[in-house]
Amino acid sequence: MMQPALAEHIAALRRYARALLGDRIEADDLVQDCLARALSRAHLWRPGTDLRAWLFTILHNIHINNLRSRRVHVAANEDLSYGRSGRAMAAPPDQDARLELRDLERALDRIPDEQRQVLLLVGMEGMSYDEAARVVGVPIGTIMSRVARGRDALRRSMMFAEPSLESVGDGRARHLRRVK
Amino acid sequence: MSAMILPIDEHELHLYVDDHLGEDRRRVVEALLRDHPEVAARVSDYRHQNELMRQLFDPVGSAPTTDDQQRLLRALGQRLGRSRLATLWRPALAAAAGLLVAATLGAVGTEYYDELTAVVPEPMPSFVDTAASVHSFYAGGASEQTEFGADAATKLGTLLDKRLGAPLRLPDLSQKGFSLVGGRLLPAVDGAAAAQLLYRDQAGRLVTVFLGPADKTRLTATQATERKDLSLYAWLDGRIGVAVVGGLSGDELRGIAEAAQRSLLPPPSGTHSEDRPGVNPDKDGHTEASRT
Repeated sequence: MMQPALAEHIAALRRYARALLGDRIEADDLVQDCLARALSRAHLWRPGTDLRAWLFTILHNIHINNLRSRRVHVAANEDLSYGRSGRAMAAPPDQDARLELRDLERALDRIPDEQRQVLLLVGMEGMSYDEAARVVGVPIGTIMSRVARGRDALRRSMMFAEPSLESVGDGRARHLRRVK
Repeated sequence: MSAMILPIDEHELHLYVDDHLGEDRRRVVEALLRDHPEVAARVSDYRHQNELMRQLFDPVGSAPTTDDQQRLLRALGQRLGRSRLATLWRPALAAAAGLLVAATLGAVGTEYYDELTAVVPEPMPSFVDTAASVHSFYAGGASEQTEFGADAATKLGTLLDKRLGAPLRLPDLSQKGFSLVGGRLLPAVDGAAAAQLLYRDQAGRLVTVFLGPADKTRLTATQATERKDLSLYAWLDGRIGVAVVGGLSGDELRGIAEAAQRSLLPPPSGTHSEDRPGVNPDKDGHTEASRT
């Protein structure tokens, strides 16, 4: 039986990997590589330090290495993000919400990988900006500007998504009408 | 009132979206949002993005793991349980009750803790051992990372005052070309804390000043040690044990440690001596050097 806290971190890693890559098999591979490396480096983890941040840092580094080696093989003009074809809808949402979720998923697809990483760490995983900075290995100011740019890009992308958004669920005035 | 000049910046708005603002700033932002519906709309959209991301991907995390993942997980759980005891300052773990473990190792559940306490403690690593491993761990990688930036040094100093039970000034190593990068608090015994202060020179070399409660250090005299690639220099300053660690030559490190020592002495005027009952450096302790 594994430790509950560790189990939670692994669930978070899997969620993050899937959101990052969009592809279930690639995400599973990434998490597995991360666990294998964590195991081989378990002696480096120090009590009193954040286990989640440690695991996410390992996963992030593997992801970046994968991106780099991929990039060597793909055409030079291809987008930095890769393998995002089979992003399966993970949730079975009801009809209306489904469209909005699909729009967000597509919008996530279109932003640069480095913005997507940070939005997911901060927005989905609820990390502090400081923790995200440690995971990604950039200054906190860079995290802040990536968050700001990523959110703006998502928002713009969702605004110009299909008009079907008008009918979305809770009756709130949605994005479409806010275009100036 | 000028509608165009916002009393907050864009970054703060995002910190607000993610609930990372303190009470005061949160109120400022909320007041602003009441007056600026277009900004409020953005905030609401950003929050909605977070919510949608969770809705989309939460189910992935709770889906069954693959067999390989499961196997790796079990092994990792066991290994982390062991490495926990093989590291850091063992009194921090052995002597402290679950309270400390819960507070400082919040990442780990109770089951984990039980597994830990079942392990028979090995001999405690010394204060300088701990200082060395803290330095290797936090300054050994490609980039040094600290909980508190140099600008928050004063805050760290205050925290240390409280946790170490003795007033403390942060050592000044500027004379030797090293400036403070930041620091972090680490768990020590009985609710006390140890701390790492990280300094860097222009060449990017890193030096740790490690501080802990003096009565836990088992130091009696100044101790100079050289390891494979680290030099250490440790002494007692009143109630605080201080170790300076870095990947420098023994002589150079000693010079830096002595600069740290000097900067920690009470001001010569004596005006502060009333306020600093804990820092009465033991002159004898400072003069006797031993090589180990």
